[in-house]
Amino acid sequence: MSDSDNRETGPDSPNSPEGADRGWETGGSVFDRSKTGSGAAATGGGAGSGEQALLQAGTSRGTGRAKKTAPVPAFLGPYATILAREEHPDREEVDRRSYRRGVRLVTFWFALAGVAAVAFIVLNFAGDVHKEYYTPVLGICIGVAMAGLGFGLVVWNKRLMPDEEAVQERHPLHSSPDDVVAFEEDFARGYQETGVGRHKVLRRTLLAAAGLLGLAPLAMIFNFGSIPHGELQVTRWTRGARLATRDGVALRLGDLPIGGIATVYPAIPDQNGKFVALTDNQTAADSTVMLIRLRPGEDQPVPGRETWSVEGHVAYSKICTHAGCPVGLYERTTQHLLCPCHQSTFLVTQHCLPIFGPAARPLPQLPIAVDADGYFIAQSDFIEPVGPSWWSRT
Amino acid sequence: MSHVTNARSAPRRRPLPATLVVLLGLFVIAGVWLLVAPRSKAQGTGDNAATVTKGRVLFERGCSSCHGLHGEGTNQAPTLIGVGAAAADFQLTTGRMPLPAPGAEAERRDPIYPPEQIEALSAYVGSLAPGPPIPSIGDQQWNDADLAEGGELFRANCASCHQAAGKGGALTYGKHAPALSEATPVEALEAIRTGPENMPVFSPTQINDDQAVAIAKYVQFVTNPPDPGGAGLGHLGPIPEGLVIWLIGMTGVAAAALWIGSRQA
Repeated sequence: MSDSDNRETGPDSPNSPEGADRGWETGGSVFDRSKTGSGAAATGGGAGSGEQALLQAGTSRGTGRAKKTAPVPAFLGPYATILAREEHPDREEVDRRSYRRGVRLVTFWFALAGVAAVAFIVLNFAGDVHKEYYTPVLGICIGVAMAGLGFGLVVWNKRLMPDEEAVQERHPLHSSPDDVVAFEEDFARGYQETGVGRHKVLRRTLLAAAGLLGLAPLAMIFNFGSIPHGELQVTRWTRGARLATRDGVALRLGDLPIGGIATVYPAIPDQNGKFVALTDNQTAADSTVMLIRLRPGEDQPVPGRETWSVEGHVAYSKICTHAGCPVGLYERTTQHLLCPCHQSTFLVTQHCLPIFGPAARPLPQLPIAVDADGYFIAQSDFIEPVGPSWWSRT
Repeated sequence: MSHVTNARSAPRRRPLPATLVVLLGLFVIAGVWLLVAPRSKAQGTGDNAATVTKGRVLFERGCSSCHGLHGEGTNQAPTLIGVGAAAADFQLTTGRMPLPAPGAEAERRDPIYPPEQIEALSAYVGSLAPGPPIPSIGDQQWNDADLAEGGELFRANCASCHQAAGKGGALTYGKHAPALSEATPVEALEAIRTGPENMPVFSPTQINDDQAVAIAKYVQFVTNPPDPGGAGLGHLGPIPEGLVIWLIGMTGVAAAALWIGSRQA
């Protein structure tokens, strides 16, 4: 279909209002046409302002067919019709005032938005970043600016633009009758050709096989194993287990400098009494612990945990209580432990209290002591489950 | 045209003496400077007491307003007693000190002090109390360092903050672990031993000197890896590479397709 076809069929379509067609035929931009309209309206008295043109156009539409000689701003047509309703003795004056009020209101909102935007820019540079007011006021400024723009646009639409109810016809969604018949014939022929209707054995074995295959995934539910009971409550830490690095080296008092951190695993004596570090994945998944050395007196233990640390050394589970990531980012001056996955932040000096992020519980603390040989040992297992919460966690 | 110009400028040798005069002047100035200028090398290798004294003068002038007259610290800056020469050398060579402005974190920049003054300042800070000395790496030690072991240690101890490729990463409250691409091996060792700012400290009992050198070697390798394929695109992995392929490569292919199509129409 070429461009000229479009032009021919356009005006003949039943839904297009006559005024619109005439408007487009005058050529030029929308603004040009509205100017032309205002020029014609000027003859009706008053200055050639936009609203005059509008009223004039409305009158002409209201009294009968649009004058072909004086091009009407077609896109204002319906609004002009509303204006032309002669319910008030001085209808035109009332509408003109209402229009002016609308213009003033929109202007007010836009001006407010502009002022707020300027205030934002000024405050951004002139404000004191460290003061409490800074961020909230910045937010208020940008909020007022955006709300002003929004209100202005809405008011513009409601008060100054034509209140037009447009109905757009949907395209038909159904296929043409010929297509429907053709498809039905195709389908019937295909069904005949497969022979499903004739071969009872084929039909039944196909249904049986497909049904059994559909059941197969359900069998995998049993692969999850039994419902965990006690395993989630305990780790591999026991009384007397040494704190060993991944290389299997048990740490002693003095190995860590102040501000030092080590990731440690339980080292448990084997049959010969030799301590063996458990660094396999099963153990590491729940028993990985951070040993941190704070400055003397820096730790603020909660009541009942005063004896859980040794000379400023504290030990906490490395498994985040939110989603189980390894909490490895230690900041020694702020004493923050940061989880890299979701930015949960724990305060080491206050039993790893979560101070930011999605984690809801503190990191479980491992009570530690030093044995006769100077090695760090665990006093016991954790007194609470490590890692993320689950549905039946007590 | 040129003939006329030549004829008019009869004493045409005039520019040459002027150039000579300027050159001579420059040579004289350079010669005087060579005679007068301080020999940094000679002063640097002077006896330790003199260096410490020089460092103390520099310290009182440039550092004491925050760190206290004797490095005892104030409410604005930590004490430097016991931090060791390594800490001072790290902070000064990476330009983090003197601090340009208080903030969440000191950023790396060009050093303010020249090397011989850094040496003096470090010697003075190191003389306040025992602390980690400025490390030195022997050629043999560097060559023997195990890159794979360094990588393993880096991923176990450093990667959580500095990221596995040494690109750095975000910390809490506006702080961040810096990228290590500019860190020299000595700076890496100093950081391991002294824990600048929020970095934890790693003692020789945790990571021995050979292991620390291996880590430094890995840092050098991973932040400046060989790029057999051409531009490394920041070594950020498949995302920027894919971006380049899609934005540049596929756009080019599409443009070529359009061009071929337009030719055949």
